[in-house]
Amino acid sequence: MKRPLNKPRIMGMLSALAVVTYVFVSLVLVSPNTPVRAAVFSVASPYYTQKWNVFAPSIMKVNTDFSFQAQWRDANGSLVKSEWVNITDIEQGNSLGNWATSRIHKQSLNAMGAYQGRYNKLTAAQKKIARDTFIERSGNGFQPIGNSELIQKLVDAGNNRSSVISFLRYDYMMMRYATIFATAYFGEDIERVRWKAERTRANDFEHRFDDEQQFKLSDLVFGWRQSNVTIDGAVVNEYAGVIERNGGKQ
Amino acid sequence: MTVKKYLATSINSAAQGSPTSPDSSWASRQIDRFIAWTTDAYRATRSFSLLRIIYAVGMLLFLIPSYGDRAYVWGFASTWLEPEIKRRGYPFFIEKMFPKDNTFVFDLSYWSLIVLVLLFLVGYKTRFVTPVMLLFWIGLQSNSMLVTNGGDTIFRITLSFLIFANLSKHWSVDAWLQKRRGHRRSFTQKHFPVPLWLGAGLHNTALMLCCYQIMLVYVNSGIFKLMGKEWLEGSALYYSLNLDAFQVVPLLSELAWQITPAVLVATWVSIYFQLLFPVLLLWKYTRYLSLVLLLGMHIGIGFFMGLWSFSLAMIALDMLFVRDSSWEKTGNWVRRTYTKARQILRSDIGLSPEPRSIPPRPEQFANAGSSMASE
Repeated sequence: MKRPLNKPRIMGMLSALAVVTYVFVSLVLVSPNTPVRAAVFSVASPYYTQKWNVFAPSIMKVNTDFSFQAQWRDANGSLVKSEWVNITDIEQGNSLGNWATSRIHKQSLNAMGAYQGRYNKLTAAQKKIARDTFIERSGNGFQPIGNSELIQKLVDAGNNRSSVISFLRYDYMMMRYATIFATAYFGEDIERVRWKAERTRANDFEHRFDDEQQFKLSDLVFGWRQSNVTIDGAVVNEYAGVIERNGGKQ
Repeated sequence: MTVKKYLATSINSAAQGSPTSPDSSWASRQIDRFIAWTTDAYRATRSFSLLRIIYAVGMLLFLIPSYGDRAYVWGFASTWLEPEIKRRGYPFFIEKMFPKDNTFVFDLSYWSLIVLVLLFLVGYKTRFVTPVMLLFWIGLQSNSMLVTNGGDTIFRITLSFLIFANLSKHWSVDAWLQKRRGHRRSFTQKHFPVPLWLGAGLHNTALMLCCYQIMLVYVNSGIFKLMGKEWLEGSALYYSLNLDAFQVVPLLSELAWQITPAVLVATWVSIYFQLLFPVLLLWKYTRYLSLVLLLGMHIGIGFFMGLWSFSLAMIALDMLFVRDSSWEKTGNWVRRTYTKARQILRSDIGLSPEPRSIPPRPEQFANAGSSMASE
């Protein structure tokens, strides 16, 4: 016998439909890349995007810090090169022993993680270019290599334009981040910056009780970039405040 | 309650609300049961109220410690993130809620969000506060992609379902005001009455979506773990305890990974209890066992790795699998035990017992009712 379509029945059906729709959308979103995923992603992103594989399948084993070095001109016009400064250490200055810590402690760590992720998508030849300087001679001085020239140079070395653009976009962001941080840290008019992923790793599980350090990872150092940032005094003061609050200069 | 009893109760409640005849097909009976379950009562109201409190604590643990760094992380000093932020696809009005070029409006929005979370915590005007708080929450998160974790993602996704749920039936200012009002209806109840089938239907849909969301997190994460060598050999916890970014107290993490059996067992428990979570929910004892173990796992994640917003979000969602009747039984048991303990303590120190008696059990009420009826 067919049941009459009353309001609770309609509500029940709509409820089931909502659940089934979300089950479908979420399963597609957490599944590997497919044309269906791209279509669903365009509708559900960014509100319902999610991924639950942060520590899996391969557990993170390497600590990656973001360190930078800067150059500025002294009173004689000669370039002065700074020591390496570890931003991650500064940002995590108040994290130790603090169960309710500021989210600042994840910023440079995740920035370097994302940057390295994009770097890893480049070919070996492109990686070599990325680790080199992006500055060229111009008359008696220096200037940043032009965007289109840089893109072309990298694309010629790998033919994967989207990965190149994605890497260069992040590279530009890192240049701005390091330049403002360096300005606040050294109080100088910064001309160039470069950065590195400083990597350390704990011994393997089998060697966990060994005193000897099993891995000596080399740092991943990138080339010099021309600081191309309009410096805002208020922003620099904010960065200086962060450095001060987190234990001061190293 | 066993699965059998649960099914019997559900069938009874469905039968009361829908015209199920003995000749109905099995499928049709199941549909009737589902409709009755969805529309005839608000489910898990205590769990939802507890979730509201835990979520608010988790969000405050995000907002308050980061207050001093707000401009650096999300505000005017974070403009270097713009090239990536602009590509995330948030609508214009969301991006403008925490403007990077207007410190006053940014700070006002940050304070508004804190106030909204506090109102959410105490459960005041929760129906109105929840969607507004969600908007502000998304607005702040849209300003940086670098500082969020899984807990923030869970808040964002599930709060969009929880807009439709009744989160303040217990332990809230809303509940207190309702109790004080007695039978008198509020302005909203008087002018915009929501029928039970609609209110309960939306509430229970939110419940199903939240329960599904946590199962998705567990099963998806469990499947990925099952593919990882370190997870299968039981060493994954050792590596995660050795990551600088997740060491709150390095000495504690050092001590923890030196207990090899604990590392192995905790790693395997986290894979298999996550992976089998939906199956373990089917039986009362495995359900409670898995909830207790996962509760322990999340407290461990918060304690050792400092990921409290993630841990609290997961604990709050886990609690949705505890029925109202179970909370009531637990509450009665705690009250009885507390009263008994007080009485014993007072008699031990030679004071006369308090005039307040032990609260009667629910079955005593039932017996009283039946004896009165028989009289």
